[in-house]
Amino acid sequence: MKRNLRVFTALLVLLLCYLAPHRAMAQGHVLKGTVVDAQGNPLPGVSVVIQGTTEGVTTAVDGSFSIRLNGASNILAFSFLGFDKKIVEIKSETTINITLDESKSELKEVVVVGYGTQRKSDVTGAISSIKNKEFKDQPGVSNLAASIEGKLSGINVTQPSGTPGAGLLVSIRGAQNPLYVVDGVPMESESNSSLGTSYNLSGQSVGSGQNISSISDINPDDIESIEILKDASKAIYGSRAANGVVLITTKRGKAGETTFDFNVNYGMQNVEKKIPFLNSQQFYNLTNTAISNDIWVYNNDIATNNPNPHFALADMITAGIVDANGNPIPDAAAPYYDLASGVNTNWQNAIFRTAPVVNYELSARGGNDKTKFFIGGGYFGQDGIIINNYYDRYNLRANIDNQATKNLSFGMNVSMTYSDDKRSFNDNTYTGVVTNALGASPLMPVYSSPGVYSDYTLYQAYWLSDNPVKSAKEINAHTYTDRLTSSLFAEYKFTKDFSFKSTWSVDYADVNDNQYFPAITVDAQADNGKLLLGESRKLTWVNENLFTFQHKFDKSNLNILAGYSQQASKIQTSAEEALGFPQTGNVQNINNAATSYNILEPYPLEYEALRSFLSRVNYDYDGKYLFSFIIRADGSSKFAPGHQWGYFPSVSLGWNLSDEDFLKENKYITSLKLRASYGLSGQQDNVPDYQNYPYWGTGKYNGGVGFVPYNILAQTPLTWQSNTTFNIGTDFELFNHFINGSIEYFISDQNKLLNQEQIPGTTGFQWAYANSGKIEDKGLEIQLATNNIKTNNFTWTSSFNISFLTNIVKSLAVDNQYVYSYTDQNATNILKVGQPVGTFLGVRFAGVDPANGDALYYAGDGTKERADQVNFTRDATTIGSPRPKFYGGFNNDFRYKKFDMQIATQFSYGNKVFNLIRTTYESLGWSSASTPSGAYLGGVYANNDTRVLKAWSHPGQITDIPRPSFLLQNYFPNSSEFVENGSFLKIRTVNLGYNVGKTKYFSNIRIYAEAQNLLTVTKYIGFDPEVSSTGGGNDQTAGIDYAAYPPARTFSLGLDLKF
Amino acid sequence: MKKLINISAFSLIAATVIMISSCAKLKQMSPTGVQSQQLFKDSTGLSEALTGLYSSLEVQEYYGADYLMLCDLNSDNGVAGGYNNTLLNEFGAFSVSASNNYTTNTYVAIYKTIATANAILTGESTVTGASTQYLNTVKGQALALRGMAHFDLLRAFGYHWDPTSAFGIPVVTSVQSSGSVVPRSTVAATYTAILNDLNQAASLLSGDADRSPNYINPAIINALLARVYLYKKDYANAAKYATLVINDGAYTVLNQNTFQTMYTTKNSSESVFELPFDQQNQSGYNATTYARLGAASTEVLFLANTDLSDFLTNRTGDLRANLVAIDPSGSYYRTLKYSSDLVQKDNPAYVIRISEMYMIRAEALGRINGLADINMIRTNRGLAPLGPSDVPDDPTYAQAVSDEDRAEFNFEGHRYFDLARTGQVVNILQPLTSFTITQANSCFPIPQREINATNGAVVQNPGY
Repeated sequence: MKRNLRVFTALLVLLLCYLAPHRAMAQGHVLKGTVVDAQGNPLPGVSVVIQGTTEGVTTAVDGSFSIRLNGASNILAFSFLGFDKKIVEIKSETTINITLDESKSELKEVVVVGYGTQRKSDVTGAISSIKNKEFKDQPGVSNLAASIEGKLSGINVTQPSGTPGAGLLVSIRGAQNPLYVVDGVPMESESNSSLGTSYNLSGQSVGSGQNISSISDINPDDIESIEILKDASKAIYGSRAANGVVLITTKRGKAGETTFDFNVNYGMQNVEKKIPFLNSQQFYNLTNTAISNDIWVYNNDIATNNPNPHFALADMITAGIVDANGNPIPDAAAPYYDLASGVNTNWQNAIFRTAPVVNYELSARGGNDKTKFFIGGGYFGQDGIIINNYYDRYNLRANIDNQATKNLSFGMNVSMTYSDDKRSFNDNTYTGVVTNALGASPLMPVYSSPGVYSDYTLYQAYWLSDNPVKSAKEINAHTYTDRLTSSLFAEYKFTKDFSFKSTWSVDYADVNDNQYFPAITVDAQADNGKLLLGESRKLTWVNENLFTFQHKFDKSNLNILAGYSQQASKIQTSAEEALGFPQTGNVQNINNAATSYNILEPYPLEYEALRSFLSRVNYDYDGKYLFSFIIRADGSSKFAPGHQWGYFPSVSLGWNLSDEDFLKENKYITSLKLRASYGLSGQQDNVPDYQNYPYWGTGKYNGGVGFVPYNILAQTPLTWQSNTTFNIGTDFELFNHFINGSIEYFISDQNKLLNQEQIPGTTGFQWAYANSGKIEDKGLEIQLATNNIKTNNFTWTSSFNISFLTNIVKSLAVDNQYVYSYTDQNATNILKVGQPVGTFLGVRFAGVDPANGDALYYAGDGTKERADQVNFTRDATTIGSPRPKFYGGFNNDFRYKKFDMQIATQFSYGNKVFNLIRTTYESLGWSSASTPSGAYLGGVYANNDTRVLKAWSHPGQITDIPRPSFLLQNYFPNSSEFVENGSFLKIRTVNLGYNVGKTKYFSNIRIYAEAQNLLTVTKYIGFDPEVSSTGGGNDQTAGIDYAAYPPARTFSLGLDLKF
Repeated sequence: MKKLINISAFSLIAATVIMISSCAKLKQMSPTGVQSQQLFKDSTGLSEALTGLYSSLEVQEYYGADYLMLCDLNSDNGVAGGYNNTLLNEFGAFSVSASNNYTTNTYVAIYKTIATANAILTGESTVTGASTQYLNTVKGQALALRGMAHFDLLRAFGYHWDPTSAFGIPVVTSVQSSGSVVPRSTVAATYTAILNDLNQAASLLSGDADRSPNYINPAIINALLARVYLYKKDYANAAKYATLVINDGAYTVLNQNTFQTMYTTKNSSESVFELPFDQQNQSGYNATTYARLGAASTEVLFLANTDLSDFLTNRTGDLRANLVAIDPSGSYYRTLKYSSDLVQKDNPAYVIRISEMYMIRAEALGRINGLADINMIRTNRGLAPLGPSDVPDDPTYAQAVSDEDRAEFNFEGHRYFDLARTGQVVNILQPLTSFTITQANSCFPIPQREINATNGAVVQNPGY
């Protein structure tokens, strides 16, 4: 050691001796200058190198630099990531201004590929990539998924709910819930709260409602780039990659003077659309029409000798619409409609509001060639467009990179987020604020006297569960999320070509659901105040150890990655209910309650672990012939020993045709690459922990506690789902950078599908987790970008993408599985061989009988029958699919001098929506009784939209809106009558910006304005065709609209200061 | 130096990787569950499994509320509440379809009790250190509950009224694997299996003098036997076992002044078999039939039919009319049997009451000898006794029994079974609905998912 030290000292001295005279000999002159981009913005961090030497400087925050020309060479090279390199010969100038053009060659960009990066030209997989500049400055966007909506082929992002902070649905090639990897650390794909979010009034959870997206706590502005692995390239993430992988790279420090960036924006939101409803007089008229129709129908049944009369005279007498002799009672319903009160409440106006959204960001980045840092923090505050709800998020993010020695570097990332989502109670289900507002009687005032909510039971509309404004204002439903993600890494370069990197990271998420119902709400009136508490805590640690080797042998490039990864999680969930609260002081904590108890959870404490070995070999010859092989072996604690390990290999090939001699000189083809890949990936997320052993869990009886069987094992032991993906694609750039793009075709099979298999109920269980079934996805994706116009002052670029996808169930262990969106409603979807996942189930609507206005439906045998003759199980069939035939986006970017404008549009064609809430607000004057004899004049079901004014009114009339009827429900809710065309074209965002440029105090100032959800073109009758009341996280029940929280239209202004 | 750093770094890394590689353990067992081999080791585990067996009766889908309340809803006693709850409306219109989630869940929940009982009966063989007497006690209780569960399935999903019918239910007497398929037994074979279980249980528990209504004892088994024989139309045995319970001495019919207290107290002297709930383990009766004073019809899933109220108020003096009422601010009738215990929400399940034994015997003995048993109930509910002239023939007597059953046991889950048993489903229910009712509606359809999951080995009831 001592000897080593001596040698080291000697070397150091020698080195100094070598440098010192060299500096002294320097000749030439000092050159000063600034580097700007095409818009004149200063570019900090540009490397300025004297060609042929290693000497150079980087530009400062204002783009300025100063370099001494040493005489050895007078040629300077200016280079900066994302810009074309510029080489300038210096003669005798002492100042120079350089303008760098943004790099037009997409293929030179570097993309993140999972455990490393690659030049786009070397990539052999189907990877969609988007950079920060394409989604920055979007006020009102809380979720990063929203920023890529409509911008990438094969990726369908939809907003199933307008709830502030709600998750978005990201579907990659038709598969939902991809794996998110942030700065190399795999995240939990979804953080569900432990409480159900849809309750009926008995307090029973009836549906899963809205999920909370795990990536909603990442600030979109902190992101540098997003890459999405769509084909076999995802095999590097093996077992969790089946649904695609989203790689998110956050901003990191840059060498150079510290720069600050302050970004603020403020917007106003409004509901995008309101549904026109009947006013008080029209509502009363509808009931009268329904009653007189019923009397007509009764007489018509007798006159036509109808063998299936609609109802008996006794039913009409009981209902009070005719007297004992069968004569109509005039104005029978009048006592229940106090038209003289003059009340005409528009309930949508009562619950919707104009709401602000504000966002502040402050970040600093800088460092030197040894240490670089980025720190940033932000606040996002969004008020909901429904009164009294909001989403607040505070986030901090920091990272440090240090080059300790020539060989050793290390660093860390840390990110913390706190969010408070004050949700609209039951925001997407049939007892929520929106659903109640859509059915409420216009004759009911919001307040019966100042400060006193009117009692909804005194007015018509038995659909309601409470006064909607009372629910919105008084129910206090919060979801609090704390999230900490942090990682440490160290990298050691053994040689120039060989290095090792080890990363340790933690992801801690605490999701706390807190729903308080004060005693004045219907939900808690019997209990004198009720609190529901749900808590879910998940801690995951991940350790990854990677060796990389790269070497260039003559024209061959070899790049080998090999590693070992392990992770473990601890998950704790609990749910509690507390009843009986004091009425003084609005106290809502569990310690204030008279009584409280725990709700049993099947597995309140879980541990899970994953261990993996992974390797990737990339080889190319001369950059022309590309080859990549990936293998990952994953072992999971979810499976029993002997079935734990899954092996996921993939191979891909690429050929850069344009580098071949026969194309090299081609005038039209700038670059052209062909790619093909085939590989396996796995899936285990569909299975909860502990399904590999039979367990007995807690059962309570008579104050004691014992055990009952919890689960049953499938016939064959569970193991990995294995997806095969075949992809061919091409990347091209034509006509001297005018157009570039890629085209992909893929076939992806989900084999050994991990799902719940229906088993005979005689076992005591409905389901066992099993590997059974197969689903096939196929598709064609086209992504194009064009540089339409480029002059000194004006540029116009466009990008267009379109994806055609089909999804089909190939086999199932048990065919024709009914899927229930809500446990107390008829099944809404079906899993059926030959149909896509999520296919709607219902009875086929056969139109309205012109003779008497009856809604008719096709029975199982093809004959037509009335709504009250339908036997759901016998008559139900497939009635449409929520999956679009194609979807995509068309985006345009204009730049004129210091102005810039982006217009982003999104489209979807062929998707259907099951508009179940219409069965409430197009109830056609129905009394709400399940049998005609139960009809009650004061109990009309719900107010209706104005479409019912065009309902059937006289014999012979051709219409598709059935006859209003008071005694009978003259429509069958689960029918194709309520399946609508959900195709749409949306102008998603219009963003206009102006770069003030450099000022005395700021290196740059930019101001911008944006409109979001500006226009939607659709035939859909409800609020928005994208909504999904079931949150859409489960693709088996997507596309159901039970009055989900509608989306907002937002106008906002922003300011970005750099200094 | 460089080499040294390389070597030391490399070995450090290698050591770290090896050391930590055991951190993420792939073998994980649930810290909150146990496996059957742990449970069936000694008498402690066995008794905890038995507690679990009783708890399986108390799930929402079975005696937690749904099983009994759905059956009243599917009769002239009930009306569907809730918000146009399409699945509940099927019961309200007596047109339950095979994919109805409620019947599906109840069907499986009852088989869960059977599966738990079978696991205990099999698991007993590995228990060590327990006395034979204790093992017999556990076995007797498991057999009795298995018999009761099979019977509850038969009367909901099988042709229980027709002993010659092929449409019994799958009888499960062994531990099942997820692939086990059990086809339907005939009605006769189902009855045989039920009676076998109950009789064997009776002999295993014969010495048991405990009459706690919360745990299976010889009197409960006799009461179950009386009920099963009545459905089977073996009237001699029905009367015999009902008499054994009546003469047991542990139970009394509450009088007209006190009978309503059986709905506000626990384990009243009427209760032969009662499932207790508590605040930590609530039942659904209150929330689904009453909710609160002034509740809207949307808040209550199981409303009472106007027809029930009219029926009771037309019986001059019948104090049970007080148990069906319109809420002061409402417009729909509700039963008040579960209106107490608002906060506790621990209303018990009245599985068998002594009144039922009198009514079984009244029906089994017939017009001449049974009248005293009807009058036992009538006089304790504020009504005058019936004389022979009030029931001059068998049909009027049958009507008197049917009416008394309806008056006494409404919203306790008897009505639909009684109508089916006595062949009255069509004539009583058809006038109340626009859906066409046939004899086939005397039981629920076998869940469609069952027919799919068994690939048709379990067949559907005719007419569905």
